[in-house]
Amino acid sequence: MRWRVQRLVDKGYVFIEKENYQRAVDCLEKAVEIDPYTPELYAYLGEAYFHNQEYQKAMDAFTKRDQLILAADPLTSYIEGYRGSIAFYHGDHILAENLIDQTIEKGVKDPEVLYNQAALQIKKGNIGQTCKIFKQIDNLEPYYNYKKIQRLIKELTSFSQEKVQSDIQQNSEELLSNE
Amino acid sequence: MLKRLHAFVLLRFSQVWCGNKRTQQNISILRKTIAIAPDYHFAHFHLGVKLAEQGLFEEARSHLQKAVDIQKNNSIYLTYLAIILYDSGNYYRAGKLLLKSLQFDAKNQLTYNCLALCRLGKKDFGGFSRILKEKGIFESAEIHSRILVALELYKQKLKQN
Repeated sequence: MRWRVQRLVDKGYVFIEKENYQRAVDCLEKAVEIDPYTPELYAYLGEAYFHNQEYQKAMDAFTKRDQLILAADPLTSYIEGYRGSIAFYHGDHILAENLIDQTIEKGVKDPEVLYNQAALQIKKGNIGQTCKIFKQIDNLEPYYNYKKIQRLIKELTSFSQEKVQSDIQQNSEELLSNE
Repeated sequence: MLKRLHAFVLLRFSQVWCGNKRTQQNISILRKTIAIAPDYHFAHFHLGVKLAEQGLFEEARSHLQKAVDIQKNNSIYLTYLAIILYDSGNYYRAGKLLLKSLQFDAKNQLTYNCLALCRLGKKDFGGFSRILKEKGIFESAEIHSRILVALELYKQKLKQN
């Protein structure tokens, strides 16, 4: 099958050189039909569409190429999980849950992503599920939970101090305005 | 005396044979142990702990209370009873039991961690962090989970306010 695809690609490029762009497109479309999972074929097809002035189709072919490359990259799922974590920190819990759940389904076992999944469960009140996730994290990385506790305490301590400062400032401003 | 020995053997059997895996059998053997020796505080304690793991908090609480009633100066029984009360949101009563537990064992890090959790439950973050700073964080995945849940809940409430 591979040799057939290669022949079609070679034919396609011969037609591009001869400036017979429509026939080039036909050959490369056939190649993609036979083998829809090879990213480089979409790059060639996009080029043919471009020369044939079918610009939207060219863009779609290049987008498809990028999607195939990303899907094959093992880091993509991890990045999706971290995007979900960022969405959680920004308060977009629906997006966070979708991205993180997809990441977990793909078998990603990153403590940070799992932690945010647990945090989402806490928000929903599923404490039982949360404890199971924390246990999973503990099995993956034994010191993670301990270090997270210390980080949270530090974060909440500085948050509390800032709040006290701003309350003091607000009260003194009110006093001054009353005078 | 023989009854007590029988109960002791059954309890040890449940611990060795069942361990942490055959929970239902473990609970069944512990119930039999208590039926043979109703004042065997150790069996009440173990049964209470196993029932709490299964989410049967009311029954767990009654067995742990029984263990405490029989042996009033046992700091571990008091601490575990306090944990059940903490889990059901009764921070004030849990805190009192923990302070009582510390009277019998002033160096128990688990008890201090539970006391810190009760403080956080009552929104006393300063008290919570002071206790953990002085006494350290107990090395237990379960306690870490509880602390993380409590901190996240506290953080979410702060953000809402």
